Amino acid sequence: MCTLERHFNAIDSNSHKKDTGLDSLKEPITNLINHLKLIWMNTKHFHKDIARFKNLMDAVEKEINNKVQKVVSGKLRNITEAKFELGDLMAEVKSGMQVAQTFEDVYTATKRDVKEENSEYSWDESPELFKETRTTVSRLNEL
Amino acid sequence: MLYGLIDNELTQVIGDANFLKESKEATFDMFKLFKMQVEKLFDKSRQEDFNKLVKDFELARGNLDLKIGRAIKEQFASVRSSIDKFKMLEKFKNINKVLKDNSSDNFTEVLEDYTKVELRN
Repeated sequence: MCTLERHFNAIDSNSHKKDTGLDSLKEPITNLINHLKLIWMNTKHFHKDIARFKNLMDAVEKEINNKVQKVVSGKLRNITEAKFELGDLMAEVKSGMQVAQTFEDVYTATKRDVKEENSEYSWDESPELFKETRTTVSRLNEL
Repeated sequence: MLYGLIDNELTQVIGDANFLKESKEATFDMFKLFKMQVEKLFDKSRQEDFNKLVKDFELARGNLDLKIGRAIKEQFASVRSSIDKFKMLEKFKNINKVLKDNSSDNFTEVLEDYTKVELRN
């Protein structure tokens, strides 16, 4: 699990950088999922206890959604009549939507790869996974 | 109706400073709905509240679009020469669909007049 730490840190630190915005989360999310695939294919760490994997993905989803929601809500809270940069706000809403969608898309594509490459052990997720992500994407889309 | 649009295109065709100020304030107020109720935005259990928020926003946007559409029509009616009307409509090119629809009938008529004038010259 230590090998994943840098990806967790990247997701955490990139979302705090003011100059990079939410867009910078896409790469660490993709790297994290790819690294999880490597662990899955080359070790039995998750095979022995699939609940570990499910819990990890739930936690990752929660973290990503929290970041996206926090940034977009912060942008909305900070708008004032004197400093109302609509383009900036909309760009962050769009990025938030793409970041949340990236998580589901990359997970789904990687799950398919894992199944094709190693059908004995396939990724399995909790039924709740992506519910929060879909709510976030849908509301950002409305915005 | 976007803030940038009011600053750029609309300023070129509507010279009424008070109207522009009012439009800007109305645009900001639309987003203030989300600003003030930000905790409802991502709460899964508050879908109804979120829907109401979007509905209120759409209502405010519709009202503003109507006001701006009316103001543009008035401004258009006050311009007499077909060349000036053509130039004015040219500036509307990027304004949203509602306004484009409002202007499309006028545009055809003005374009015909403008072509006649140009051909005569």
